[in-house]
Amino acid sequence: MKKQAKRKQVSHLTFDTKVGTIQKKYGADLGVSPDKKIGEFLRERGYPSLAKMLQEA
Amino acid sequence: MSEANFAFVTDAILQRNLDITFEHLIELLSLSESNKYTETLKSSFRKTVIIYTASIVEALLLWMLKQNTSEETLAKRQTVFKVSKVIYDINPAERIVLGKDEIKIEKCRFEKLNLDQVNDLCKEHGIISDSIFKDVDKVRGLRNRLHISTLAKVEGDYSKDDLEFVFSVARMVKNLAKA
Repeated sequence: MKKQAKRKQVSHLTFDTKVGTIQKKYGADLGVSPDKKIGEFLRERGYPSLAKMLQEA
Repeated sequence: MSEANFAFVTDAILQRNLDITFEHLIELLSLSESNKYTETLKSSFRKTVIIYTASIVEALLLWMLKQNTSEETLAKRQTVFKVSKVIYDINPAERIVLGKDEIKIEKCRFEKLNLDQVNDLCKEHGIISDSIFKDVDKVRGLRNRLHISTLAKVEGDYSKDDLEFVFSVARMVKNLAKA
């Protein structure tokens, strides 16, 4: 019987993705609440264009 | 809301690769804001982010170029003079020859184009304005720092302004491609 191929994990970062997702994945403390939205985090850190790109998806 | 950041790109493989690259650069940029890493490593993260963002810009421009043109229309005709016989040597730098003009067709292959060429062609065919062309060229300059043998000094910190500029250009190009 053929083994079923493992499904690749697919992640989709959106403006609303929580910063905690990245903190947990890499074990890095970004100095903000893990519930903060990644889009807001990027905007506050000086990357409004990247935040807008996420928002406009 | 679409799950993909580049859902408008009709090439499914390109769309997925753009999404993977985009998500990776967001993660890298986020990590560059962590105090877990040294300033040198953070600067390296930012450099990688610039390189990946430039690759997104290049991919979107090429995708737009493919939507608007073909390899056949981009082929260039070049006249080349071919010498068939030397008649007389006037001096080491000059000679009289017999020859003919030959027309050479320089084929264009999309997969062989680099960012500079893609940017030029997009401007030439009215796909992007002169202003976007110049901005993309600046992004190319920042991206080209990946060629470390060409650097005249030890690399310092990549500024947030550099990054925000590159992102603003990527956003402009993305919105143009989406339109």
